[in-house]
Amino acid sequence: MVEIENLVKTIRKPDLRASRVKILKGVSLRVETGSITAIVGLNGAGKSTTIKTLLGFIRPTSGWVKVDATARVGYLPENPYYYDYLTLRELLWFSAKSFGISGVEFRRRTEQVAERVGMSDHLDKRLRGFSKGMTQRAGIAAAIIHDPGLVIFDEPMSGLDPFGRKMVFELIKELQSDGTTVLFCSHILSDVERLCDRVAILHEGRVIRTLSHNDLLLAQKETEMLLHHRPETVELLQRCNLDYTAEDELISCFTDVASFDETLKLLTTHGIKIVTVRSSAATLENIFYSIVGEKGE
Amino acid sequence: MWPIARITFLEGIRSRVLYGIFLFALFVMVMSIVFANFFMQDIGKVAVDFNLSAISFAGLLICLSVSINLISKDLDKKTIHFVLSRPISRSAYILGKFFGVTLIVLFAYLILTVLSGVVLVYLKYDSAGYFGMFSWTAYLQAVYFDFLKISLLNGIIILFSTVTTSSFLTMLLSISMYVIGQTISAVVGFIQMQTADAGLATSTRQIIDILKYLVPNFSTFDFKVISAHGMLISPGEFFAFTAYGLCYLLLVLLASAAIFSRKEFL
Repeated sequence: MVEIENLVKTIRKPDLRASRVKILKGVSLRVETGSITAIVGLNGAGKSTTIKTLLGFIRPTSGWVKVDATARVGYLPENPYYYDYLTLRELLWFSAKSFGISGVEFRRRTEQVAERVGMSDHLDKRLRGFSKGMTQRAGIAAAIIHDPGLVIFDEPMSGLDPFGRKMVFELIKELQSDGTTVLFCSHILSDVERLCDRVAILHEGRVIRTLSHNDLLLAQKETEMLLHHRPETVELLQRCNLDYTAEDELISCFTDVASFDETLKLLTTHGIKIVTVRSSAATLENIFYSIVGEKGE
Repeated sequence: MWPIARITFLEGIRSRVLYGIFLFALFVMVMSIVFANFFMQDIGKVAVDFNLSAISFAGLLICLSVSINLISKDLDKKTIHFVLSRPISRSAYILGKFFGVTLIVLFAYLILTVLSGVVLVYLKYDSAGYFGMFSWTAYLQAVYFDFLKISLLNGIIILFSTVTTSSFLTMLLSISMYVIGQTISAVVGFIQMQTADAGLATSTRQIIDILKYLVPNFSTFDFKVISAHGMLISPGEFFAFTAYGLCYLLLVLLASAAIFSRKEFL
Protein backbone atom coordinates (compact mmCIF):
# COMPACT_ATOMS: atom_id res chain seq x y z
CA MET A 1 0.00 0.00 0.00
CA VAL A 2 2.78 2.42 0.98
CA GLU A 3 6.46 2.17 0.21
CA ILE A 4 9.09 4.61 1.40
CA GLU A 5 12.61 4.02 0.19
CA ASN A 6 15.74 5.74 1.46
CA LEU A 7 13.98 9.05 2.00
CA VAL A 8 16.25 12.02 2.62
CA LYS A 9 15.06 15.54 3.30
CA THR A 10 17.31 18.51 3.85
CA ILE A 11 15.87 21.91 4.68
CA ARG A 12 17.31 25.36 5.01
CA LYS A 13 17.11 26.78 8.52
CA PRO A 14 15.30 30.10 8.68
CA ASP A 15 18.33 31.89 10.12
CA LEU A 16 20.57 34.51 8.56
CA ARG A 17 23.24 32.01 7.54
CA ALA A 18 20.56 29.78 5.95
CA SER A 19 22.44 26.70 7.16
CA ARG A 20 21.12 23.34 6.02
CA VAL A 21 19.79 20.64 8.29
CA LYS A 22 19.03 17.04 7.37
CA ILE A 23 15.68 16.06 8.87
CA LEU A 24 15.37 12.65 7.22
CA LYS A 25 18.54 10.64 6.71
CA GLY A 26 17.32 7.68 4.69
CA VAL A 27 13.93 6.51 5.96
CA SER A 28 12.71 3.22 4.50
CA LEU A 29 9.34 1.77 5.43
CA ARG A 30 6.70 -0.55 3.98
CA VAL A 31 3.07 -0.49 5.01
CA GLU A 32 1.18 -3.64 4.01
CA THR A 33 -2.39 -3.42 2.77
CA GLY A 34 -4.89 -3.90 5.58
CA SER A 35 -2.32 -3.49 8.36
CA ILE A 36 -2.01 -1.03 11.21
CA THR A 37 1.44 0.51 11.25
CA ALA A 38 2.76 3.09 13.67
CA ILE A 39 5.74 5.38 13.51
CA VAL A 40 7.05 6.22 16.96
CA GLY A 41 9.89 8.49 17.92
CA LEU A 42 10.91 11.46 19.99
CA ASN A 43 9.91 15.01 19.05
CA GLY A 44 11.92 16.03 16.00
CA ALA A 45 12.66 12.44 14.99
CA GLY A 46 11.10 13.05 11.56
CA LYS A 47 7.70 11.36 11.96
CA SER A 48 5.57 14.24 10.69
CA THR A 49 8.09 15.08 7.94
CA THR A 50 7.87 11.49 6.69
CA ILE A 51 4.08 11.73 6.57
CA LYS A 52 4.15 15.16 4.90
CA THR A 53 6.48 13.79 2.23
CA LEU A 54 4.15 10.86 1.75
CA LEU A 55 1.24 13.23 1.19
CA GLY A 56 3.20 15.44 -1.21
CA PHE A 57 3.35 18.54 1.01
CA ILE A 58 7.14 18.50 0.77
CA ARG A 59 9.49 17.15 -1.89
CA PRO A 60 12.15 14.62 -0.91
CA THR A 61 15.77 15.65 -1.43
CA SER A 62 16.41 12.06 -2.49
CA GLY A 63 14.68 8.70 -2.22
CA TRP A 64 11.07 8.04 -3.13
CA VAL A 65 7.63 7.35 -1.77
CA LYS A 66 4.93 5.29 -3.40
CA VAL A 67 1.28 5.19 -2.37
CA ASP A 68 -1.21 2.83 -4.02
CA ALA A 69 -2.99 5.04 -6.55
CA THR A 70 -6.34 3.41 -5.83
CA ALA A 71 -6.20 4.30 -2.13
CA ARG A 72 -8.36 7.28 -1.27
CA VAL A 73 -6.28 8.74 1.52
CA GLY A 74 -7.88 10.09 4.68
CA TYR A 75 -5.58 12.31 6.70
CA LEU A 76 -5.77 13.74 10.21
CA PRO A 77 -3.09 16.40 10.80
CA GLU A 78 -1.35 16.89 14.14
CA ASN A 79 -3.13 19.52 16.28
CA PRO A 80 -5.59 20.29 13.51
CA TYR A 81 -7.01 23.77 13.09
CA TYR A 82 -10.09 24.10 10.92
CA TYR A 83 -12.17 27.05 9.81
CA ASP A 84 -13.63 28.64 12.96
CA TYR A 85 -16.90 29.87 11.52
CA LEU A 86 -17.87 26.62 9.79
CA THR A 87 -20.13 24.06 11.42
CA LEU A 88 -19.05 20.43 11.69
CA ARG A 89 -21.59 19.54 8.99
CA GLU A 90 -20.04 22.11 6.63
CA LEU A 91 -16.54 20.79 7.36
CA LEU A 92 -17.73 17.28 6.57
CA TRP A 93 -19.45 18.58 3.42
CA PHE A 94 -16.15 20.06 2.27
CA SER A 95 -14.34 16.82 2.95
CA ALA A 96 -16.95 14.65 1.26
CA LYS A 97 -17.49 16.99 -1.70
CA SER A 98 -13.77 17.08 -2.48
CA PHE A 99 -14.03 13.30 -2.90
CA GLY A 100 -17.11 13.66 -5.09
CA ILE A 101 -19.66 12.64 -2.45
CA SER A 102 -22.81 14.76 -2.21
CA GLY A 103 -26.58 14.64 -1.80
CA VAL A 104 -28.25 11.72 -0.06
CA GLU A 105 -24.99 9.79 0.19
CA PHE A 106 -23.33 12.73 1.95
CA ARG A 107 -26.20 13.03 4.44
CA ARG A 108 -26.09 9.30 5.17
CA ARG A 109 -22.33 9.29 5.71
CA THR A 110 -22.42 12.46 7.81
CA GLU A 111 -24.80 10.90 10.31
CA GLN A 112 -22.79 7.68 10.27
CA VAL A 113 -19.32 9.19 10.93
CA ALA A 114 -20.67 11.71 13.44
CA GLU A 115 -22.10 8.84 15.44
CA ARG A 116 -18.89 6.87 15.08
CA VAL A 117 -16.84 9.67 16.66
CA GLY A 118 -19.52 10.63 19.20
CA MET A 119 -20.33 14.03 17.66
CA SER A 120 -23.93 13.53 16.49
CA ASP A 121 -25.19 16.29 18.77
CA HIS A 122 -22.64 18.78 17.51
CA LEU A 123 -23.14 18.57 13.74
CA ASP A 124 -24.66 22.05 13.43
CA LYS A 125 -22.41 23.79 15.93
CA ARG A 126 -19.55 26.00 14.83
CA LEU A 127 -16.03 24.65 15.20
CA ARG A 128 -15.08 27.87 16.99
CA GLY A 129 -16.75 26.60 20.16
CA PHE A 130 -15.17 23.13 20.09
CA SER A 131 -12.70 21.93 22.71
CA LYS A 132 -9.39 20.39 21.62
CA GLY A 133 -10.81 16.89 21.95
CA MET A 134 -13.93 17.77 19.97
CA THR A 135 -11.79 19.32 17.22
CA GLN A 136 -9.77 16.11 17.11
CA ARG A 137 -12.97 14.05 16.77
CA ALA A 138 -14.19 16.42 14.03
CA GLY A 139 -10.90 15.93 12.20
CA ILE A 140 -11.18 12.17 12.46
CA ALA A 141 -14.73 12.31 11.07
CA ALA A 142 -13.53 14.47 8.16
CA ALA A 143 -10.70 12.00 7.50
CA ILE A 144 -12.93 8.94 7.23
CA ILE A 145 -16.16 10.26 5.69
CA HIS A 146 -15.18 9.04 2.20
CA ASP A 147 -14.40 5.44 3.29
CA PRO A 148 -10.67 5.75 2.64
CA GLY A 149 -8.47 2.84 1.65
CA LEU A 150 -5.56 4.33 3.54
CA VAL A 151 -5.86 6.41 6.70
CA ILE A 152 -2.96 8.49 7.96
CA PHE A 153 -3.34 9.87 11.46
CA ASP A 154 -0.74 12.21 12.93
CA GLU A 155 -1.03 11.88 16.72
CA PRO A 156 -4.69 10.77 16.77
CA MET A 157 -4.85 10.45 20.56
CA SER A 158 -3.55 13.96 21.14
CA GLY A 159 -5.88 16.11 23.25
CA LEU A 160 -8.37 13.31 23.88
CA ASP A 161 -9.72 12.26 27.27
CA PRO A 162 -9.72 8.52 28.20
CA PHE A 163 -13.12 8.03 26.51
CA GLY A 164 -11.84 9.74 23.38
CA ARG A 165 -8.72 7.58 23.35
CA LYS A 166 -10.85 4.47 23.70
CA MET A 167 -13.03 5.66 20.83
CA VAL A 168 -10.00 6.21 18.57
CA PHE A 169 -8.55 2.87 19.62
CA GLU A 170 -11.76 1.04 18.69
CA LEU A 171 -12.20 3.10 15.53
CA ILE A 172 -8.73 2.13 14.27
CA LYS A 173 -9.52 -1.52 14.96
CA GLU A 174 -12.86 -1.17 13.13
CA LEU A 175 -11.18 0.52 10.17
CA GLN A 176 -8.78 -2.40 9.92
CA SER A 177 -11.58 -4.92 10.04
CA ASP A 178 -13.26 -2.97 7.19
CA GLY A 179 -10.07 -3.50 5.16
CA THR A 180 -8.60 -0.03 5.60
CA THR A 181 -4.85 0.35 5.94
CA VAL A 182 -3.87 2.55 8.88
CA LEU A 183 -0.62 4.44 9.33
CA PHE A 184 -0.22 6.67 12.35
CA CYS A 185 2.27 8.50 14.55
CA SER A 186 1.89 8.44 18.29
CA HIS A 187 3.71 9.12 21.49
CA ILE A 188 1.44 6.85 23.50
CA LEU A 189 3.43 3.63 23.35
CA SER A 190 0.96 1.49 25.30
CA ASP A 191 -1.72 2.16 22.66
CA VAL A 192 0.73 1.51 19.83
CA GLU A 193 1.73 -1.78 21.43
CA ARG A 194 -1.86 -3.00 21.66
CA LEU A 195 -3.04 -1.70 18.27
CA CYS A 196 -0.34 -2.27 15.71
CA ASP A 197 0.79 -5.01 13.42
CA ARG A 198 4.04 -3.20 12.82
CA VAL A 199 5.95 -0.41 14.52
CA ALA A 200 8.80 1.63 13.07
CA ILE A 201 10.98 3.38 15.62
CA LEU A 202 12.29 6.57 14.10
CA HIS A 203 15.24 8.33 15.66
CA GLU A 204 17.15 11.31 14.32
CA GLY A 205 15.77 10.87 10.81
CA ARG A 206 16.29 7.11 10.48
CA VAL A 207 14.19 4.00 11.08
CA ILE A 208 16.39 2.28 13.62
CA ARG A 209 14.14 -0.69 14.32
CA THR A 210 10.99 -2.21 12.93
CA LEU A 211 8.95 -4.41 15.25
CA SER A 212 6.70 -7.09 13.78
CA HIS A 213 3.32 -8.21 15.11
CA ASN A 214 5.00 -11.08 16.99
CA ASP A 215 7.56 -8.74 18.56
CA LEU A 216 4.73 -6.53 19.72
CA LEU A 217 2.65 -9.37 21.11
CA LEU A 218 5.68 -10.68 22.96
CA ALA A 219 6.45 -7.20 24.28
CA GLN A 220 2.86 -6.88 25.38
CA LYS A 221 2.23 -10.36 26.74
CA GLU A 222 5.79 -11.10 27.89
CA THR A 223 5.63 -14.88 27.19
CA GLU A 224 5.45 -16.79 23.91
CA MET A 225 4.74 -20.54 23.67
CA LEU A 226 5.53 -22.23 20.38
CA LEU A 227 3.11 -25.04 19.50
CA HIS A 228 2.72 -27.41 16.54
CA HIS A 229 0.27 -26.07 13.96
CA ARG A 230 -2.76 -28.39 14.18
CA PRO A 231 -6.46 -27.60 13.55
CA GLU A 232 -7.50 -28.70 17.07
CA THR A 233 -4.89 -26.38 18.59
CA VAL A 234 -6.17 -23.42 16.56
CA GLU A 235 -9.73 -24.29 17.56
CA LEU A 236 -8.80 -24.41 21.26
CA LEU A 237 -6.92 -21.10 21.12
CA GLN A 238 -9.86 -19.45 19.38
CA ARG A 239 -12.33 -20.94 21.84
CA CYS A 240 -10.34 -19.75 24.84
CA ASN A 241 -9.80 -16.32 23.22
CA LEU A 242 -6.00 -16.47 23.45
CA ASP A 243 -3.64 -14.28 21.42
CA TYR A 244 -1.77 -16.23 18.79
CA THR A 245 -0.19 -16.01 15.37
CA ALA A 246 -0.01 -19.02 13.07
CA GLU A 247 2.70 -19.81 10.55
CA ASP A 248 3.28 -22.87 8.34
CA GLU A 249 4.30 -25.37 10.99
CA LEU A 250 4.22 -23.48 14.24
CA ILE A 251 1.82 -21.41 16.27
CA SER A 252 2.97 -18.68 18.65
CA CYS A 253 0.67 -18.35 21.64
CA PHE A 254 1.17 -15.24 23.78
CA THR A 255 0.31 -14.88 27.45
CA ASP A 256 1.27 -12.55 30.22
CA VAL A 257 3.05 -13.74 33.35
CA ALA A 258 -0.11 -13.76 35.46
CA SER A 259 -1.96 -16.21 33.21
CA PHE A 260 1.04 -18.30 32.14
CA ASP A 261 0.38 -21.19 34.55
CA GLU A 262 -3.30 -21.30 33.65
CA THR A 263 -2.58 -21.35 29.90
CA LEU A 264 0.10 -24.00 30.34
CA LYS A 265 -2.36 -26.17 32.29
CA LEU A 266 -5.05 -25.69 29.65
CA LEU A 267 -2.74 -26.74 26.82
CA THR A 268 -1.34 -29.80 28.62
CA THR A 269 -4.85 -30.91 29.70
CA HIS A 270 -5.83 -30.96 26.02
CA GLY A 271 -2.73 -32.90 25.12
CA ILE A 272 -1.06 -30.10 23.19
CA LYS A 273 2.71 -30.34 23.25
CA ILE A 274 4.74 -27.21 23.74
CA VAL A 275 7.79 -26.96 21.48
CA THR A 276 9.46 -24.17 23.40
CA VAL A 277 8.79 -21.16 25.58
CA ARG A 278 10.28 -17.69 25.11
CA SER A 279 9.94 -14.85 27.54
CA SER A 280 10.51 -11.15 27.32
CA ALA A 281 10.55 -8.58 30.08
CA ALA A 282 10.72 -5.87 27.48
CA THR A 283 7.57 -3.86 26.79
CA LEU A 284 7.53 -1.59 23.77
CA GLU A 285 8.29 1.23 26.16
CA ASN A 286 11.42 -0.55 27.38
CA ILE A 287 12.47 -1.45 23.84
CA PHE A 288 11.92 2.16 22.75
CA TYR A 289 13.87 3.66 25.63
CA SER A 290 16.73 1.21 25.27
CA ILE A 291 17.08 1.89 21.52
CA VAL A 292 16.60 5.63 21.66
CA GLY A 293 18.68 5.96 24.84
CA GLU A 294 21.47 3.87 23.35
CA LYS A 295 21.53 5.92 20.15
CA GLY A 296 21.20 9.14 22.04
CA GLU A 297 24.26 8.49 24.16
CA MET B 1 -12.34 24.37 -6.68
CA TRP B 2 -16.04 24.81 -5.77
CA PRO B 3 -15.71 23.26 -2.26
CA ILE B 4 -12.85 25.67 -1.48
CA ALA B 5 -14.77 28.67 -2.85
CA ARG B 6 -17.84 27.73 -0.82
CA ILE B 7 -16.09 27.32 2.53
CA THR B 8 -14.09 30.52 1.91
CA PHE B 9 -17.35 32.36 1.27
CA LEU B 10 -19.10 30.86 4.32
CA GLU B 11 -16.11 31.57 6.56
CA GLY B 12 -15.85 35.13 5.22
CA ILE B 13 -19.47 36.23 5.49
CA ARG B 14 -19.68 35.00 9.08
CA SER B 15 -16.66 37.04 10.10
CA ARG B 16 -17.60 39.81 12.52
CA VAL B 17 -15.16 42.16 10.81
CA LEU B 18 -17.42 42.16 7.76
CA TYR B 19 -20.38 43.37 9.81
CA GLY B 20 -18.21 46.14 11.26
CA ILE B 21 -17.31 47.22 7.73
CA PHE B 22 -20.99 47.18 6.71
CA LEU B 23 -21.92 49.35 9.67
CA PHE B 24 -19.11 51.79 8.92
CA ALA B 25 -20.13 52.05 5.24
CA LEU B 26 -23.76 52.52 6.26
CA PHE B 27 -22.74 55.27 8.67
CA VAL B 28 -20.81 57.09 5.88
CA MET B 29 -23.80 56.71 3.52
CA VAL B 30 -26.22 58.15 6.05
CA MET B 31 -23.77 60.96 6.77
CA SER B 32 -23.80 61.79 3.07
CA ILE B 33 -27.38 63.02 3.58
CA VAL B 34 -26.04 65.60 6.03
CA PHE B 35 -22.84 66.50 4.16
CA ALA B 36 -24.42 66.73 0.71
CA ASN B 37 -26.66 69.51 2.01
CA PHE B 38 -23.57 71.66 2.63
CA PHE B 39 -23.07 71.88 -1.15
CA MET B 40 -26.35 73.37 -2.28
CA GLN B 41 -25.91 73.32 -6.06
CA ASP B 42 -23.94 70.10 -6.09
CA ILE B 43 -25.97 67.91 -3.74
CA GLY B 44 -26.42 65.23 -6.44
CA LYS B 45 -22.73 65.10 -7.38
CA VAL B 46 -21.50 65.13 -3.78
CA ALA B 47 -24.01 62.46 -2.73
CA VAL B 48 -22.97 60.16 -5.58
CA ASP B 49 -19.28 60.74 -4.90
CA PHE B 50 -19.77 60.16 -1.17
CA ASN B 51 -21.71 56.92 -1.61
CA LEU B 52 -19.37 55.53 -4.23
CA SER B 53 -16.41 56.36 -1.98
CA ALA B 54 -18.11 54.55 0.92
CA ILE B 55 -18.58 51.41 -1.24
CA SER B 56 -15.02 51.61 -2.54
CA PHE B 57 -13.55 52.10 0.94
CA ALA B 58 -15.62 49.18 2.29
CA GLY B 59 -14.27 47.01 -0.54
CA LEU B 60 -10.74 48.02 0.34
CA LEU B 61 -11.33 47.23 4.02
CA ILE B 62 -12.70 43.79 3.08
CA CYS B 63 -9.52 43.15 1.10
CA LEU B 64 -7.31 44.24 3.97
CA SER B 65 -9.19 42.32 6.64
CA VAL B 66 -10.49 39.15 4.94
CA SER B 67 -8.28 38.54 1.89
CA ILE B 68 -4.96 39.26 3.61
CA ASN B 69 -5.50 36.38 6.05
CA LEU B 70 -7.06 34.06 3.52
CA ILE B 71 -3.97 32.04 2.62
CA SER B 72 -1.46 33.15 5.25
CA LYS B 73 -3.79 31.91 8.02
CA ASP B 74 -4.10 28.52 6.30
CA LEU B 75 -0.31 28.31 6.10
CA ASP B 76 0.29 29.61 9.60
CA LYS B 77 -2.28 27.35 11.30
CA LYS B 78 -1.37 24.39 9.03
CA THR B 79 -4.96 24.10 7.77
CA ILE B 80 -3.36 23.79 4.35
CA HIS B 81 -2.34 20.22 5.26
CA PHE B 82 -5.96 19.29 5.87
CA VAL B 83 -7.10 20.91 2.62
CA LEU B 84 -4.37 19.61 0.32
CA SER B 85 -4.57 16.06 1.64
CA ARG B 86 -7.84 15.89 -0.30
CA PRO B 87 -7.85 15.49 -4.10
CA ILE B 88 -7.61 19.24 -4.59
CA SER B 89 -4.81 20.59 -6.76
CA ARG B 90 -2.85 23.60 -5.61
CA SER B 91 -4.10 25.62 -8.59
CA ALA B 92 -7.69 24.71 -7.65
CA TYR B 93 -6.93 25.86 -4.10
CA ILE B 94 -5.71 29.26 -5.35
CA LEU B 95 -8.66 29.68 -7.72
CA GLY B 96 -11.10 28.47 -5.05
CA LYS B 97 -9.78 31.00 -2.56
CA PHE B 98 -9.99 33.77 -5.16
CA PHE B 99 -13.55 32.96 -6.20
CA GLY B 100 -14.56 32.56 -2.55
CA VAL B 101 -13.34 36.02 -1.63
CA THR B 102 -14.76 37.44 -4.89
CA LEU B 103 -18.17 36.07 -3.86
CA ILE B 104 -17.80 37.79 -0.48
CA VAL B 105 -16.96 41.10 -2.20
CA LEU B 106 -19.83 40.62 -4.67
CA PHE B 107 -22.22 39.92 -1.80
CA ALA B 108 -20.96 43.02 0.07
CA TYR B 109 -21.18 45.22 -3.06
CA LEU B 110 -24.75 44.08 -3.75
CA ILE B 111 -25.84 44.99 -0.23
CA LEU B 112 -23.92 48.27 -0.18
CA THR B 113 -25.23 49.26 -3.63
CA VAL B 114 -28.81 48.66 -2.48
CA LEU B 115 -28.21 50.63 0.74
CA SER B 116 -26.56 53.52 -1.11
CA GLY B 117 -29.42 53.37 -3.63
CA VAL B 118 -31.91 53.91 -0.79
CA VAL B 119 -29.91 56.93 0.43
CA LEU B 120 -29.73 58.37 -3.11
CA VAL B 121 -33.46 57.83 -3.71
CA TYR B 122 -34.18 59.70 -0.48
CA LEU B 123 -31.85 62.58 -1.42
CA LYS B 124 -33.25 62.67 -4.95
CA TYR B 125 -36.77 62.88 -3.58
CA ASP B 126 -35.73 65.53 -1.02
CA SER B 127 -33.70 67.70 -3.41
CA ALA B 128 -35.03 66.74 -6.84
CA GLY B 129 -33.89 70.01 -8.40
CA TYR B 130 -30.23 69.27 -7.82
CA PHE B 131 -30.18 65.74 -9.28
CA GLY B 132 -30.52 66.79 -12.91
CA MET B 133 -27.35 65.03 -14.08
CA PHE B 134 -27.84 61.88 -12.03
CA SER B 135 -27.95 58.57 -13.90
CA TRP B 136 -28.43 55.14 -12.35
CA THR B 137 -26.57 53.53 -15.24
CA ALA B 138 -23.55 55.77 -14.65
CA TYR B 139 -23.75 54.99 -10.94
CA LEU B 140 -23.80 51.22 -11.56
CA GLN B 141 -20.98 51.64 -14.10
CA ALA B 142 -18.80 53.13 -11.33
CA VAL B 143 -19.77 50.33 -8.90
CA TYR B 144 -18.95 47.69 -11.54
CA PHE B 145 -15.47 49.08 -12.21
CA ASP B 146 -14.80 49.47 -8.50
CA PHE B 147 -15.73 45.80 -8.04
CA LEU B 148 -13.30 44.94 -10.84
CA LYS B 149 -10.59 46.98 -9.12
CA ILE B 150 -11.15 45.24 -5.77
CA SER B 151 -11.14 41.83 -7.49
CA LEU B 152 -7.80 42.70 -9.07
CA LEU B 153 -6.49 43.81 -5.68
CA ASN B 154 -7.66 40.48 -4.25
CA GLY B 155 -5.72 38.68 -6.95
CA ILE B 156 -2.62 40.69 -6.08
CA ILE B 157 -3.07 39.93 -2.36
CA ILE B 158 -3.28 36.22 -3.21
CA LEU B 159 -0.10 36.52 -5.30
CA PHE B 160 1.78 38.10 -2.38
CA SER B 161 0.34 35.49 0.01
CA THR B 162 1.95 32.76 -2.09
CA VAL B 163 5.31 34.55 -2.02
CA THR B 164 5.45 35.18 1.73
CA THR B 165 3.88 33.39 4.69
CA SER B 166 3.71 36.56 6.79
CA SER B 167 0.33 38.29 6.67
CA PHE B 168 1.97 41.56 7.75
CA LEU B 169 4.35 41.47 4.79
CA THR B 170 1.47 40.56 2.48
CA MET B 171 -0.46 43.57 3.76
CA LEU B 172 2.54 45.87 3.38
CA LEU B 173 3.24 44.75 -0.18
CA SER B 174 -0.44 44.88 -1.16
CA ILE B 175 -0.96 48.38 0.26
CA SER B 176 2.20 49.55 -1.52
CA MET B 177 0.95 48.09 -4.79
CA TYR B 178 -2.47 49.68 -4.26
CA VAL B 179 -0.94 53.11 -3.61
CA ILE B 180 1.33 52.77 -6.66
CA GLY B 181 -1.62 51.62 -8.79
CA GLN B 182 -3.80 54.50 -7.66
CA THR B 183 -1.16 57.18 -8.27
CA ILE B 184 0.77 55.85 -11.27
CA SER B 185 -1.35 57.74 -13.81
CA ALA B 186 -0.89 61.03 -11.95
CA VAL B 187 2.86 60.45 -11.57
CA VAL B 188 3.29 59.61 -15.26
CA GLY B 189 1.19 62.66 -16.20
CA PHE B 190 3.35 64.84 -13.99
CA ILE B 191 6.58 63.51 -15.54
CA GLN B 192 5.22 64.05 -19.04
CA MET B 193 4.17 67.59 -18.14
CA GLN B 194 7.56 68.42 -16.61
CA THR B 195 9.42 67.10 -19.62
CA ALA B 196 7.05 68.57 -22.19
CA ASP B 197 9.46 71.45 -22.96
CA ALA B 198 12.39 69.07 -23.37
CA GLY B 199 10.42 67.25 -26.06
CA LEU B 200 10.60 63.57 -25.20
CA ALA B 201 11.18 61.14 -28.03
CA THR B 202 8.07 59.31 -29.22
CA SER B 203 9.57 55.97 -28.18
CA THR B 204 10.21 57.27 -24.65
CA ARG B 205 6.62 58.47 -24.40
CA GLN B 206 5.40 55.07 -25.55
CA ILE B 207 7.58 53.30 -22.96
CA ILE B 208 6.20 55.53 -20.21
CA ASP B 209 2.64 54.81 -21.43
CA ILE B 210 3.28 51.06 -21.41
CA LEU B 211 4.84 51.26 -17.93
CA LYS B 212 1.67 52.96 -16.75
CA TYR B 213 -0.24 49.76 -17.45
CA LEU B 214 2.43 47.27 -16.44
CA VAL B 215 1.82 47.96 -12.77
CA PRO B 216 -1.87 47.46 -11.96
CA ASN B 217 -3.28 50.83 -12.89
CA PHE B 218 -6.10 51.04 -10.35
CA SER B 219 -6.94 54.62 -11.26
CA THR B 220 -8.18 53.27 -14.61
CA PHE B 221 -11.16 51.83 -12.76
CA ASP B 222 -12.04 55.03 -10.90
CA PHE B 223 -15.25 56.37 -12.43
CA LYS B 224 -16.58 58.25 -9.42
CA VAL B 225 -16.21 61.74 -10.94
CA ILE B 226 -17.61 60.70 -14.33
CA SER B 227 -20.50 58.97 -12.60
CA ALA B 228 -21.20 62.02 -10.40
CA HIS B 229 -21.71 63.95 -13.64
CA GLY B 230 -24.04 61.23 -14.90
CA MET B 231 -21.73 60.42 -17.82
CA LEU B 232 -21.24 57.02 -19.45
CA ILE B 233 -18.11 55.79 -21.18
CA SER B 234 -18.29 54.40 -24.71
CA PRO B 235 -18.86 50.63 -25.16
CA GLY B 236 -15.36 50.38 -26.64
CA GLU B 237 -13.80 51.91 -23.54
CA PHE B 238 -16.03 49.78 -21.33
CA PHE B 239 -14.77 46.56 -22.93
CA ALA B 240 -11.17 47.78 -23.10
CA PHE B 241 -11.04 48.57 -19.35
CA THR B 242 -12.84 45.33 -18.50
CA ALA B 243 -10.42 43.35 -20.69
CA TYR B 244 -7.44 45.10 -19.07
CA GLY B 245 -8.69 44.20 -15.58
CA LEU B 246 -9.53 40.59 -16.45
CA CYS B 247 -6.27 39.96 -18.36
CA TYR B 248 -4.21 41.40 -15.52
CA LEU B 249 -6.18 39.30 -13.05
CA LEU B 250 -5.67 36.15 -15.11
CA LEU B 251 -1.90 36.72 -15.23
CA VAL B 252 -1.76 37.38 -11.49
CA LEU B 253 -3.72 34.20 -10.72
CA LEU B 254 -1.58 32.12 -13.10
CA ALA B 255 1.58 33.45 -11.42
CA SER B 256 0.08 32.71 -7.97
CA ALA B 257 -0.79 29.14 -8.99
CA ALA B 258 2.70 28.60 -10.45
CA ILE B 259 4.44 29.87 -7.29
CA PHE B 260 2.10 27.94 -4.99
CA SER B 261 2.64 24.70 -6.92
CA ARG B 262 6.34 24.84 -6.11
CA LYS B 263 5.86 25.65 -2.44
CA GLU B 264 6.64 23.17 0.35
CA PHE B 265 4.47 22.98 3.46
CA LEU B 266 6.60 21.86 6.38
